[in-house]
Amino acid sequence: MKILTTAKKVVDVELTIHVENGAIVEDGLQYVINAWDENAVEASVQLKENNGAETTLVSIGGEDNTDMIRKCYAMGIDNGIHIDDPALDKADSFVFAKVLQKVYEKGDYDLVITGKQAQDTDSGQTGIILAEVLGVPCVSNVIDIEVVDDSHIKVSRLGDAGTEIVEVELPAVVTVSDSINEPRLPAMRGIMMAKKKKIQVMDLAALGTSPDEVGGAAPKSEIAEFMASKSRQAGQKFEGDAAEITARVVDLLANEAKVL
Amino acid sequence: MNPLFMSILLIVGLAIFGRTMYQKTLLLMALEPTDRANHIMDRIKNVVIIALGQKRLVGRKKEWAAGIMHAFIFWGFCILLIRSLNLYGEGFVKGFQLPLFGDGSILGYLYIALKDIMEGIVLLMAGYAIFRRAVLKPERMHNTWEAYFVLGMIGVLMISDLLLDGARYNLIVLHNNPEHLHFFNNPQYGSEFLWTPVSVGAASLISGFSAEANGLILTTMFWLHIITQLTFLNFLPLGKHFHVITALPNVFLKSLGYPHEKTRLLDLEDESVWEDESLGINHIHQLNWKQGLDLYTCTECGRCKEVCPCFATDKPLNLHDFNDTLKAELFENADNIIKRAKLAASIKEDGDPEEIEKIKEEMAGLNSQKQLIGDVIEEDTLWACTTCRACEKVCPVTIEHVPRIMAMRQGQTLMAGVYPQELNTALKGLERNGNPWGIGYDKRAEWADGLDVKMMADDQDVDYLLWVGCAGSFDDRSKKVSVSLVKILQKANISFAILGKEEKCTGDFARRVGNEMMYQMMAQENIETMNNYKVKKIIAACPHCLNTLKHEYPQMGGNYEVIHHTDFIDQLIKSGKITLSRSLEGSLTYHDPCYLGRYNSIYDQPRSILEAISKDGLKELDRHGQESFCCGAGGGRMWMEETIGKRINVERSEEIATQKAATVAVACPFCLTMIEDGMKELDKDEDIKTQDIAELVANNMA
Repeated sequence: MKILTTAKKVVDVELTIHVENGAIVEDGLQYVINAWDENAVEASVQLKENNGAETTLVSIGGEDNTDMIRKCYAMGIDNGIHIDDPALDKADSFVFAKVLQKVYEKGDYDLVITGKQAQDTDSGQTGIILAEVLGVPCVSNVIDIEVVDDSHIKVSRLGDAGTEIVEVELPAVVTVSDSINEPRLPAMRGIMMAKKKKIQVMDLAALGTSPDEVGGAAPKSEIAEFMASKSRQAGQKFEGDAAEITARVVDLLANEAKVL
Repeated sequence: MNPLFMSILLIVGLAIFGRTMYQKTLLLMALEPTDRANHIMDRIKNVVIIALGQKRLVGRKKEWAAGIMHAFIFWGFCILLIRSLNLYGEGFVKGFQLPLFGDGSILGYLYIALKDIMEGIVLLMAGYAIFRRAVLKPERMHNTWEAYFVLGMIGVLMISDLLLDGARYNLIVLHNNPEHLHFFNNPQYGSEFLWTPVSVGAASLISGFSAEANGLILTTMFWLHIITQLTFLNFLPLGKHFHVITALPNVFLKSLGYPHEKTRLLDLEDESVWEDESLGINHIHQLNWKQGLDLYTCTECGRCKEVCPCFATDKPLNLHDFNDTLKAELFENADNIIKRAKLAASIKEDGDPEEIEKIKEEMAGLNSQKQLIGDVIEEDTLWACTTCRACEKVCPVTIEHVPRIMAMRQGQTLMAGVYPQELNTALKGLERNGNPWGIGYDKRAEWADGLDVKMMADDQDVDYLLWVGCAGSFDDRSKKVSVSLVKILQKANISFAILGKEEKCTGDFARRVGNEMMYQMMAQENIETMNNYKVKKIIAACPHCLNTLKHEYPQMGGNYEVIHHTDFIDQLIKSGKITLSRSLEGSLTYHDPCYLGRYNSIYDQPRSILEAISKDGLKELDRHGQESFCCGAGGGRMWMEETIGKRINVERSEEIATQKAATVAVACPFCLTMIEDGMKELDKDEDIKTQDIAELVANNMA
C-alpha cells in the first residue's frame, strides 16, 4: 500500500497573536506542524508498521518546511515531497487541493491521509476538496483506520451521537481527528539519521503544472482582514455580607452591565 | 615452622588469587574509559576520611552500632596485616621478626599490645555481627550464607591467632619453653606477655593441657590461621566481600568537584555515534571502568535501598538488586567484553573501510544476548529513579548509582527511542516554547507584570540576573514565590533583571530523562542569550536550575557565579540589607530539596533563615539534611505518571504531618507542588501550609 500524507506548518497557537492594521504581527511568532497533520503522520506510520506500507509526506510551503519534513522522517515517513513555489503564497484550500491532486497523480497512491483541519484557519476543506477533484471516496473526522484487504479499509468516524464505521474502497482520502492517536516524538536517532535523507523539492513547473492550472494565480477566496479576538476581562470578586453583596451585584448588573 | 609447606601454601594461594585479580582487572580495562587520575591529594584525603576513617559508617547516627562494629573489624584487619606478614615470616624462619616491629624497639611492644586488643575487639564485633544478622535482622540486610561464612572465617582468624599466642604463653611460662620459642623479653619495656592481656586470657583456657597438647595447639593454630587467611583472600573476589579489596581504590577514584560523575557532553553531531549506536548505555560493555569497579565494590549492605524513595514506596527499583543484576550480567559477558575491547583496539582510523566494517560486525556479534533494559533491568525500574542521590550519600564505599541510571536513560531515549511516552508533552513543550508546560514562550514574564522588574533586553547593566525558571514563570503557585522573591530583592535594593521571554528551561529534566539533544538545545540557546548580555552572577529560584546552570553549563561555555535564592537571602539578612521580624507563628519544619542539599550542600542557609523568622524555632523532620526524603519530582519524574506503589509525595507529606507542623518550608518549586499536593491528598492542606522560604521571608520582613 502506498500512503500519501499531508502536513502544513501553522502558527504556534500557544502564542498570543497580535493584529495590527488587519494583518498578523509576525514578529515573535513561530510556526510548527499542524497538530492534526501530526496525527495524520502518526496514523500513516502506524499503518506502515502494522500492515506494511510505503509512506510519503507532502508539504506545501516555504523553505522552513524542511525541518518539519525531516522530523516526519524521524517519525517513520519514508519519502518527503516539498512543494515550494512563490505562486502559492496566497493559496486557499482549493488551490492546495489542486496541487495535491498533481502530487497524487504522479505517485499512484492507494490512500491519502490528511489532518481534518489546520489549527490556524480551521477551514477543514483541503482533504475533502482533494477527494472531490480526484473523484475518490472521502471520510472525514476519522478516529481509527483498519486495513481490510488490498483494496479496502474500514474506518471509524466520530459523529455527534456516536461512532460511524465505514468500509471504503481504495483509493480514498481520509481526514483524521486528534483522537485517532498520540503522535510520537521523533526518535533522536531518527532525527540525526534523517539529516542525510533527501527531500524532493519541486516548484509547480517541476510538478508538471502551472499557477494557472492549479488556480494559484487567482485563488477562489482571499483573506481580507484579521481581527484579534477580545481577551476575557478579569471578573470581580465580592466578599462580605450576603445582603449587601446581592444589592451591589444587582446594581452593577442593572446600571453598569445593563443586562437587567 | 615448615618452609616447604609454607612455600606451597603461599604459591598456591597467591597464584589463584593473582589469576582471579588479573581477570577482574582485565575486565575493568576492557570497559569504557573515564579519567580519574587527577587531584591526588584530594583523593588521598577522601581515602583517609571516608575509607580509613569509616566516616559514613561511624558518622551515621541512625546506625551507629553497626557503623562502629564495621569500623572496628576494618581497623582490626588493617592492624593485623603486619601480624600476618610476621606470621608468614615465621613459616620460613623460626623467631622471625619484622624490622622495626621486633623486640628491640618500643614499637614492637606497642604493636603487639594493639594487635592483641584489636583481636579481642574484632572477635567481639564478629560475634555482634552474627547476632545482628541472626537475631536483630535489620530490614535492609540480605542474609546470605556468604555473610555467615565470612564472619565465621573472621572468627577463626582471631581465635586461631589468640590461641596460637596463648599456647606459646603456656609453653614458655608453664612448661619452661621446651622448644626455645621466641618471645619478647626486654628489661627496658618489660615482658611481651604483660602487653597482651587477651592472649594471656586465651592461654588460661588451655592451661590445663599438657606441654605436648599446647605444642600441638600452637602448630595447628598457626597453620589454621595461615590456611584460613589464604582461603579468605581467595574467597573475597568471588562475592560481595570483594569490597575488602576494592573499597579503598573505589573511594580513591570517586568523583571530585561534583557529587558524582557529571553527565558527559555527548557529541551529537558525530554521525558515527548514531550509526554505531554508541551513545549512553544500552549494553553492559558500555559501562566505564569506574562503574565496573563500583559494581565490584557493592557490599550489598542495602543502605542505598533503605533510603531510596522508590524502594520505600514499593517501586520496582531496588538498588541492591539493580547493582547485583548488573554485576551478574557483567561477569556473564566478561570474556566477550574483553574480546570486544581487543577488536575495538585493532581498528585503525586510516584502516581499510571494509576491514573496519568487518571488525565492527564481529564486535556486534559479541554483544550480550540480553537487552540491558528490558531483559536485565526492567523499564519501570530504570524510570523509577528520581535522581535524588540519597543512595549515593549514604553509600559507605561511594558508589555512584545515578550517573549510571542517567546514561542508561540516554541509551534508551537517544538510541532505542524507548521511554515513558507521557514525557512527550513536556518534551514537545520544551522544544517549541522552552518550557515543559508548553505554554507560549511569549507569556513567560507575565507573572512580573506591574512589579517593575527590569528585562535584560532593556537594561543589562545590572549586578544579577534573576533566573526565574519555568515553574516560577508559568505555574500559578510558583509564580507567587517569584513575586515574593522580587519583593525581597527590591526591598534590599538589589540591582537585578530577568531574561523574560528570552529565558528557556535549563534543560535539567530533559537531560535527566536521557534526552541529551533537547538539553543541549536549551543550554546552547540560554548560554548564547546570557553571554550576549555578559551575565556574570545569577540568582536561581530553583535548585534544579541552580544545579544545571552552575555545574553543567560550563561544559558548553556558560560560566557564571550561580547562587540559590535561599543562599542569597541568607546573605542579605547577614549583611543587614533586609531585617526579619520573628513573627511566624506555629511549629515550622523544613523539607530539604535534593538538588539544593545533596547536590549543592546547601543545608545551613535555609535553616538559618527559618530560625530567624519562627517564633517557635525550627523542628527537624526525621529524614532531613543529607538524608532528606525526596518529594518524588526529580529526574524528570515531575512529568511522568506515578502509577506503581505509594506516591512518594504522600509518603513524605505523611512524615511532615506526623511532625504536627503548621508550616512546612520548601526551597524548590517541584517540592512545593509535590508536598502541597500530598497535603491535599491527606486532607491536611488547611492545617499545614507549604510555603517557599522566599514567601516566608517576604511575609516576615520588618
